[in-house]
Amino acid sequence: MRFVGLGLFLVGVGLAGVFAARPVTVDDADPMARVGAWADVAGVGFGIGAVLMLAGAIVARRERGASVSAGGLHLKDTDRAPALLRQIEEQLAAFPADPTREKDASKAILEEILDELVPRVLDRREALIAQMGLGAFGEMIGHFATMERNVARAWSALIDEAYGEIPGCIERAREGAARARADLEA
Amino acid sequence: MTVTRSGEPYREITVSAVVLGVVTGALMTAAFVYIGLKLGFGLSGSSVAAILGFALLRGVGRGVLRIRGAGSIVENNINQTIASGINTASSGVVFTFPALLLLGDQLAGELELWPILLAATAGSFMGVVVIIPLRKQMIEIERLRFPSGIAVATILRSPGAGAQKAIYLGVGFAIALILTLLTSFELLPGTLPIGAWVQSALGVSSHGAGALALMGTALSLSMANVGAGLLSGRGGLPFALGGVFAWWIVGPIVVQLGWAPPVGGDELVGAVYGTMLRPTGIGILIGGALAGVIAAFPAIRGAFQSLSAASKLARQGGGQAEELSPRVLATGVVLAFAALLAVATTDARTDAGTIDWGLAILVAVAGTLWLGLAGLIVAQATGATDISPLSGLALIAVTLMLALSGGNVLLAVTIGVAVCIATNQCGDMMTDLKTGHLIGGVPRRQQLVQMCVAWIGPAIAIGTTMLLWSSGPGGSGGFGPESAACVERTAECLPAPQAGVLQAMIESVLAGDAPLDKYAAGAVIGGGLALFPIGGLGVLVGLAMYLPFDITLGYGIGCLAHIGLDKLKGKRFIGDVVVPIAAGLIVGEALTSLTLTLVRLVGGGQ
Repeated sequence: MRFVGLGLFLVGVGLAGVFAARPVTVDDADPMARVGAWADVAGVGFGIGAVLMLAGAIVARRERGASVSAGGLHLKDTDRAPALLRQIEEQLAAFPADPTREKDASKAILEEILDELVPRVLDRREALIAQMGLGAFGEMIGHFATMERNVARAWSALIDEAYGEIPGCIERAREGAARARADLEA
Repeated sequence: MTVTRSGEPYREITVSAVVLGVVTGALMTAAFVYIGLKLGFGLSGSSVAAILGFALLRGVGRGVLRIRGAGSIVENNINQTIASGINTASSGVVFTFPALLLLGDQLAGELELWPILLAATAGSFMGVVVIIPLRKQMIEIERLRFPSGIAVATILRSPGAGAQKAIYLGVGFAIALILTLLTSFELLPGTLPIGAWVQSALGVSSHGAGALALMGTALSLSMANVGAGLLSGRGGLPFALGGVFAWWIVGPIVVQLGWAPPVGGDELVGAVYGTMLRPTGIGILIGGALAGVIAAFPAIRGAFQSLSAASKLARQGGGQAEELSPRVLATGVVLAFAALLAVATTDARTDAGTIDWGLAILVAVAGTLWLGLAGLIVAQATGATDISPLSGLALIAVTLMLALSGGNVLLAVTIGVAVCIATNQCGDMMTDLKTGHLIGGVPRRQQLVQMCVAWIGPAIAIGTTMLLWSSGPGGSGGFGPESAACVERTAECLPAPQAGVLQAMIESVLAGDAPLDKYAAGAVIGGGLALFPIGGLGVLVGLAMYLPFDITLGYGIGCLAHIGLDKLKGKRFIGDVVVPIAAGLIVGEALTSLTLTLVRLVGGGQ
């Protein structure tokens, strides 16, 4: 059953695409005359393709929903997102109080978050949307993005040696990570 | 500028960043208008501005003028945001406005400059404000890649990225430089006709379905294209598969069924692409984008709510929200509508010469709605692939306006100017915001500076166009294939090829040849594609059908390489090695092409 939706969808798109491309010639300069002429010669084939495409998309959506609610692969992945956010919070908590003295360590923490942990959370994006719904995911990812942007700003400030900017960024990043995790756990 | 706890400011919006951005943007706008009229293509200026920013803000500011903290990463980001925000108007103007000058006597009304300037400025502002609610949707929720945005962020981050990443950036740059030089001097073809080689080797006829599948298959040697694919990875794969669908499935079946003209070789490829695949692709793009908005409605509504809540909180707490409020969007839309209405009242006249208010309002409403939708389409397409379907969207705008106004070319093209500039501005603003996201810029500040300079680009682009037009004998006719310089084949010839394309499009629409059937059927397919649970599928497949296969294929190879390397080497390798190489490829090709173009123009060659 897994590929039924995809199969129907692909056949439908192919059929609709072929009939959509069917050329027509009309003498009338009225643009709607062209649409009418096209519908006469290609409308049935196109319609069948469109229906198959629609049916395939619906089946594919159901298949995906079923796999999420059955606690399949997606949910197992999703379970790890709060743990990753907790790791980010721990990294931010361990950020040196005086980055001027520990520049390399500070940079390593920020790069670990940006290059390692953030992509791992984002890998679970589709599963999280399926689990949480788009609205709730949008709320959560807003906090996550605030964290991400502030970690990036702290990194830039560190490179630019604008050390006074960094504590505020780290604080906002911690708040963002905590809120995102709270949303996920709710 | 943020004042830090130690009292030392972290330089972000500074006088030097703004001045440098405006000067660079203004110079690039004038130069790119000239290049567009001469060669027929537009160029992007973000990477040029970012590198100039390093040299001047950081190099001169810190090294020579001894300004503490000058040329910070976020300050240079503001500089490149302003410069590219101004320069982005050049390609929008070059594609549309010269067509009006070339049409001249064929226009029903008198060509006045102020409505065009007003429409262009309205489009420019609209392009910035439309992005306000879409930023969260496209950058945070959909996580679109915006390859050029990543490339510019890689340049901006280079002072702290370490020697290894700088080497990889240099490797990518060198590869792009060498290939661009080789193709430019025709030591290598710009496109490898892989399918034609296979066809020739196998002795396949140049007529029929197989011939189309083979001859349509080519590989562009554009390294920027491969770089964009390398940055996009799995998310960009539907774009590559869309090309396969168009050229290996739909095209050959159509030929097999006998629906294509009875021609062979390149003529067959051109006919199937131009009259079937491309217009259907435009329709799919539109349908996919519309359905995408509907599907993403909960998230967009959430984005509006969080924007309102953040600005309310900021007002109560006396602080500043990170983004502009929805009120700015509402104000921008109302102003854009008012501007388009003012434009429409000058061109929408009854036979008695009075203003046709019904038509003017209809045109202003449709124009404003199309500005928003076209901006959304371009932002999505640019975000996923780095490619903007500008000409297709301008064509739809002109077709729509010609249909509404009963063939009023002046009105249609004037609205087309606004649409072209707005769509470019949307794509640029979103790309800049992606860069900002990666380096820690504050979105509100980027949006504000781009809004403040949005009027400059249209004014310079239109001014430069008029200046070049008035350089002809008798103060007009300075460019176009019929201009004196082009007729006499002198080095000063500016053929304005894009304006010629638009002229041909207008004539085709007026003759009733606009492929509305393809647009409509494509829109239905785009809507269906958007229902499938893969984000942005309609826009990506539509864009793939709209473009020649050589571009899609190069991009697809980049996507596959990303996926393979991710599996073999992991995410860290992608970030440490693939991203800087891909950024080098994009920036290397852009800068080499720009330099070669300028050298050729200065040398008088074409």
